[in-house]
Amino acid sequence: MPGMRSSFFWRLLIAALALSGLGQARAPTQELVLFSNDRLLPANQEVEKGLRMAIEEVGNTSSVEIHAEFLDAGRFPSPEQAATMEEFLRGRHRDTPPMAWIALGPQALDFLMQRREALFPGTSIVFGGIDSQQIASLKDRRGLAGRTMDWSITPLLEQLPGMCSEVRRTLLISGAAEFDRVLHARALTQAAPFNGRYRIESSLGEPLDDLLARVSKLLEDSLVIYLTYFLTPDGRTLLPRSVAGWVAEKSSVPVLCFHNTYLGTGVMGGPMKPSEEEGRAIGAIARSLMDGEDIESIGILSSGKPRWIIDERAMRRHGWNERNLPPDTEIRFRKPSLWEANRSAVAIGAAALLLQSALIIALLAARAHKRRAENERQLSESGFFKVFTANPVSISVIRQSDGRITDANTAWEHTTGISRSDAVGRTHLELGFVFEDSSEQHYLDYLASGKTLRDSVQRLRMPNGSSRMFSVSTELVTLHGETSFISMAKDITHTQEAEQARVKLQQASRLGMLGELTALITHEINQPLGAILSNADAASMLMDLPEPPLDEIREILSDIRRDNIRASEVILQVRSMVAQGENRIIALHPGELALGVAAMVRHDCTRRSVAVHCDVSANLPQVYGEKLRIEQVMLNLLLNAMDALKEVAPDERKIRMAVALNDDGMVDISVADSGPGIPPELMERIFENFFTTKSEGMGLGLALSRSIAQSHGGNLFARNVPAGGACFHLILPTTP
Amino acid sequence: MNSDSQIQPADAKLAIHLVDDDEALRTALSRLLRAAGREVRAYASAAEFLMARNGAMRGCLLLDVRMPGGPTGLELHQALVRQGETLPVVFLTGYGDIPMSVQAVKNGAFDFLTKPVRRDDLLKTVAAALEAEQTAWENAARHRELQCRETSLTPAEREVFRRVVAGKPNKMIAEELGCAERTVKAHRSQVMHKMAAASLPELVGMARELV
Repeated sequence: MPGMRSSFFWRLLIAALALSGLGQARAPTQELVLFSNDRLLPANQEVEKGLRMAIEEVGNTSSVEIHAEFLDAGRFPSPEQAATMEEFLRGRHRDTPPMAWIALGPQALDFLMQRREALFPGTSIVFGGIDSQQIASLKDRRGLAGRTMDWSITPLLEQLPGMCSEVRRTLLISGAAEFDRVLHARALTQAAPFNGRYRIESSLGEPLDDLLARVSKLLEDSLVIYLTYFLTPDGRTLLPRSVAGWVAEKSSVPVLCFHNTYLGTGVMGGPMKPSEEEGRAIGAIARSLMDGEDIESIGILSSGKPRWIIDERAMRRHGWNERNLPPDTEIRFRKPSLWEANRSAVAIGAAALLLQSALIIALLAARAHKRRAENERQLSESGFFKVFTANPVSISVIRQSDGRITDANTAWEHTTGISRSDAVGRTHLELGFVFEDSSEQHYLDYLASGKTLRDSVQRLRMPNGSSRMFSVSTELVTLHGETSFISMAKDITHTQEAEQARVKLQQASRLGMLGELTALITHEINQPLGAILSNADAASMLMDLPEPPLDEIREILSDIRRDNIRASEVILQVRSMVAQGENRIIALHPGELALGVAAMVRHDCTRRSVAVHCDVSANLPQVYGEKLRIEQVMLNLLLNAMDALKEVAPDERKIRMAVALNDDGMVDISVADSGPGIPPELMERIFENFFTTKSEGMGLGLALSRSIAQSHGGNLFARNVPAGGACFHLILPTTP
Repeated sequence: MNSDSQIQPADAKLAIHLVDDDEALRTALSRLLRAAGREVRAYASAAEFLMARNGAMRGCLLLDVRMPGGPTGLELHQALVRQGETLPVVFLTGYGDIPMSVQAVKNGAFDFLTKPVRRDDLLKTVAAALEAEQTAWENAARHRELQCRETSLTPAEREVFRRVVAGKPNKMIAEELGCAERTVKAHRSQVMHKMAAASLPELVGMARELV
């Protein structure tokens, strides 16, 4: 095959030289390219690029024009639509009938074989991307030349054991389109002989959600083989490349595929025939036809063996070894590690880190400027590399121009829970970090300003939802010709420093925080108010119908009630934050309080199928406190308990509220749920300000509740119940 | 217009695509819009909407500006604009987000509504957005139709067409093309027929639309 290709190349060159003198005199010759699928398919764009390169850009450009048309057979498969297309093509190209067709893909060839005589009689067809079986099955092969492309899963399955021995099962994925199904059926037939070596599982035309859920639950000894997914079972047309990306994102095991256009979405790669090269080869055939070659003498060629192309990032993520790959494998997306890219610059960054203390970090700037060359000589490279990776301080390298992370050390991976390979190439915002004290715009402005930081306290919401506090120092260096920040962040969430910093922060930006809090509260109240208003409007419109749907109206009223409780809960919280000391301390009966609060949420509980049991001991003493605030704490605990039951089966959603006297002679109001319980590592953190695991929560509930309990001389704590679920205890003294 | 309705898939009804992460509000707004006789598709996040999106979607988008834990409505809007989405977008916004929404309108959003949304405002704005989309869609369809008609003209007819709409009388056209006036007349009636134009002013209007 290489010999064949190079002879084409020479012929093209000669033709190009010959044409360069003659071309001007000729009218442009038109070649029509007909694609089976739609214009936006990345593979089509690549093929078209290759075609144009081969046909238009070799030598004289004025002699040949190519024009692309798209059958879009996946979306418009019916014969009537094909007839419309025929009509359209005939009308459009009437004045400049094509000298040749280029048919790409099976549907395009089918279409042209049926209609070429009716369209433009005597036009030859160059084809590509078509199975040799389809060509063999044609009765009349006159006026036809091209390259067959025989796709097969066999080489992949043969070579797989050498690459990763632990694979025991493979999942074959395809969509619901006709094309998807044909390919899938062929893959299954070809995979059958391997059934002893792997368990071959199949997902054909599965709904996207089910597919993604399935992929996320695969065992470690599995491997995904992704074919094509053009259509969902409910008729939605998708780009197979996008689906490849979603599958790769959900999958914890490697995703292999056969199209180079899927590379870069997170897939591992596989044996493939790159579309652009294929386009160029087909273009060369078309070109030689233009140059007067007889179509029969070109005949039918084969596109040859695929070659392996692998995404280095995926390879690293799944622990594949480059040495086990087939010898001619092409590795893409190889990114020099920070260390490989610029040893000296890292050495400088790392040298400072060796010193670790914040004070000495502060000296870095001076050192870096004054003694860069000297440091470079003095310090051994391998030593610094170790310092970079093994440093307990989280270090990341951020490109100034676009804020993308170019490297990160092990401590950073540990602190953030994100692997280096996932982080590299993304920005903090893309990774899901939220800067709690400033906006995204501030962060971007900061990057652009190029200012360095010294022990600046930053509160960050981590991608997992927790809120952490860091002392951050940054340094601006030039790495690999790009200006980058080296960011050194120390987690100070649990240290003394954090307390001090928090106080300072609150003092410094009380006004700013108030503004932010107001916006947050406005949002929190506006949401339920908006829902109430729209629900009421909907209900009144439904009432005007001749036969009002009473069930739906009842549902609406129940929702209005729930949203009302939600809004008043926010108001309660705000009141207790703002109106300190407004309430008088009075003697209260704890049992009555508990029953009263339980009654407030009864309706909500019924709606959410939660059974609440309230157990009040006899002869309890009175407690002293502010009624509203204690009620608020109890309400908060009950609402939290209900939220914890969201994922539990409806008939197992139970809340047990108990009011009793504990061994210290204090009143213990406990709220226990039958939910999943609290992860031990979060047991204390749930009481921190702004800590929340709920997407809609403010993260103030438990922190505020505990401070209310403590200001009453009591306490609030949580524990997990051995039988399952969490239990919160509100302890209140019986003396004022 | 028949050919167009054939190509359009069956699910491409005029719908309001509502993206809001707040379940209560989402349900309430869907109810209200449905009670007003509108077709509604609701999505809990930008991601959910993007997964469901396809080129055949019709109607308008109702986006919450603020959605914690994912792209905001504004970011979603920008991404859609970059992808060439043409559906009109109406933003739902809280009190503090008005500057953001003004920016969104500058970026090409159709309008914004502040929460809590009043019924009449909501229904009026949505109706206007749907109408705008319908008009844009019809214009695009008509444009396609006219193009289709134009491609059915022969080269000679096209020459005549060009000159007729430029206001030239048959005689002058015949001179310019070097043919008999009778031939021009024949072409001219073919042009009127193929373009389905009832009068010369209508034909001129079509030529203007085709530019």
